[in-house]
Amino acid sequence: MTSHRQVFEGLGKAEGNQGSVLSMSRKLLLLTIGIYVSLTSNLGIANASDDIEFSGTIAFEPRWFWDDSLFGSDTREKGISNSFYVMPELDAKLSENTSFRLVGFFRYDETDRDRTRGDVREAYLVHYRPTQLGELEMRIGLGRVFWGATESHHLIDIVNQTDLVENPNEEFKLGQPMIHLTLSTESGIFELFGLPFHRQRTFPGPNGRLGFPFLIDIDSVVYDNVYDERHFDLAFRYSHTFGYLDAGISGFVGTNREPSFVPNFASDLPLTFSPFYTQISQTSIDLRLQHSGWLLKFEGLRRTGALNRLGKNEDYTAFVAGFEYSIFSLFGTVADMTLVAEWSFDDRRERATTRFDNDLFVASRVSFNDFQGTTITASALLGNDNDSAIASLEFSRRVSERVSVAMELVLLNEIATDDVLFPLKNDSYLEVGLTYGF
Amino acid sequence: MKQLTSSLATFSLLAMVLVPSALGQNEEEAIAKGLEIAQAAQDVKKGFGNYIAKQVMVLKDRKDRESKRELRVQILEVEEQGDRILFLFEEPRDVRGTALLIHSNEDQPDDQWFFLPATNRVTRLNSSGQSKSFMGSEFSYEDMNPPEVSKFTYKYLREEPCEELNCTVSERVPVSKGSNYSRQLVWHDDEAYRVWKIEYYDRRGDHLKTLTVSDYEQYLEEYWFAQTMIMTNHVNGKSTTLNWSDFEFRVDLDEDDFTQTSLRRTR
Repeated sequence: MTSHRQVFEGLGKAEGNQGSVLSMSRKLLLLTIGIYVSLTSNLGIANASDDIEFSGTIAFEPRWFWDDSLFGSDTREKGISNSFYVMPELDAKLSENTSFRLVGFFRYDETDRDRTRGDVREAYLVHYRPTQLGELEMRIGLGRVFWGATESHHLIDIVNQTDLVENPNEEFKLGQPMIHLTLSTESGIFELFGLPFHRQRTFPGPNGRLGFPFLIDIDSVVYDNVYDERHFDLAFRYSHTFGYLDAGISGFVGTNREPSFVPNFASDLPLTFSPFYTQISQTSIDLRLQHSGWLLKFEGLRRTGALNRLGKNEDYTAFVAGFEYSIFSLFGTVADMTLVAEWSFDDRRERATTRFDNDLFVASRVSFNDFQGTTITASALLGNDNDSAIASLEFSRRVSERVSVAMELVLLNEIATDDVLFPLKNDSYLEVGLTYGF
Repeated sequence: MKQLTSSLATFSLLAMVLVPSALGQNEEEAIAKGLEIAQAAQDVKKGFGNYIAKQVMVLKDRKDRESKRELRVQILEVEEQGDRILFLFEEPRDVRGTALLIHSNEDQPDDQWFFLPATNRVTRLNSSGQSKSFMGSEFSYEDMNPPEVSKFTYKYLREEPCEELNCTVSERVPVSKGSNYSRQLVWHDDEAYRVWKIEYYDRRGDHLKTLTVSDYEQYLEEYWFAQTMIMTNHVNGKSTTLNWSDFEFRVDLDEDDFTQTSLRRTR
């Protein structure tokens, strides 16, 4: 384990090396703190009314890795790594139809200096008004948009960049600068997104677990267009409910969220790799159909302009299809169990850049419906083209009105050698989280 | 109890075979009167427009340990259709920001969507989840949904005093096969068709839960709303007290406030 002094030295170094990216997130963080402090200082009146609300979460989340990493094992050693995060939230109602929301995020990680970082998850103004066509909503700022229907992974969800260093499950996203218009009409919801700035994916650092087998230099990022990260991306979405069917069609034209990696020969040895973001276009559909106790789900996309695992341009089609079925009053108790099975397919197969090339996902979630809201989720992702298996077990329970505990066990030791995730073979871990809400 | 039920069933079966015309007519009258009461109870509630209110649930287990839930609720009446309901979860802290939108349907399962604030995700809830406990309480999702007239078949049973009033007792049988109940007994007073008690019988016919309703207050000089509802589970010995407060009627709410778009705005 690293001492605190070393970590802070490390932090100082990181600023020197990775100036632009860190200073970007630092500016965002300072902005959040600034707004937060300036608003809290006027608290006297504001807090008395219902119009401004402060809240947030603080969590202590140590992770235990019981094996040295397969690659970079001299820096990625086994052991317990302590970590915590703070996520302050502010909601302000500015007028009857206008509000502001701010969500900051700061994580400190004992061993991975690239995981010690801040981000503004959300900072947007939202205003809505009735029009002749329907209600029009406008959002401006950093926001989080979710597209999709399935559980195993979020294939079509592309607006926000993945905060990969946060968790390998890709569920955590960075705040995306956007102008987002939503028109809700009798015949469906029409959405238009203007995305003026591309945010880079985050990665575990040289000392961080669940990392890549090579060094990634996020300062030497490469874009294949003249505007670099300032390319103005566009997205649209139409969604509607037809009886028991929720359906959506979406499109995206702009900078890919998923990078390829190119060797950076300009750098000193050891050789580092630069994230490379190409221009892509994506068309997708998503469906959720409720039918006599079953919930059927589908996400499918066609993407052009992206590079495959071999670094070659290859257009592709991918989908996830599955169901969710719930059993209530399990064994005569108030507990219920939800079963999920999903098949993901990517027609690039072994040339796919994700692990979901031809895989089966099965999961079972038991909710005990007790005072403490106890839930246990077990899941497995099984490869159809290889013998890879990834399993996870999650547990969560409230300890008091404000404190809850969560445990996450992720087993990666059964990953096949030809799998995209093979470098993570020794990175199985157990995370125990203690969360306090204020 | 089971024996009694089955012998009663045998008796009524025999009776029906022996005197079909006479009992058939009574039966028809009871069905008609049951429906009439349910319709009247529904009609007196109509016209409030919309309201917002606060709900505090106190969950109590067999050993009298307590746990609290807090919600805000918005309800909109929609003509020719079922009500629209929005629940905003406030306590406990880990579910704060979660919202549940219900589009109640007259004669088919309701549409229900959840908003999960951690991912800004709107997700459809399976309608088979009717028997699922609402936030760990003794109220199920089915109990929280509005009892539209068309969701049951009815039969008037008898009259009985309740509090200082006179009540009718009717049986109602859920139409939906997904219901957790085989039947319910409902106590309505004659004066304003307010509900004072509901007994819930599970699929096996056993008495599962009893809801007692009290502290009625009149709003808009016309509509009666109860402040206290206590659901007691006779099987597990637990109970939940649901207290309503801070009612505000005819506020600025319309159908636009009960859409999947507005659901994303609840935070």
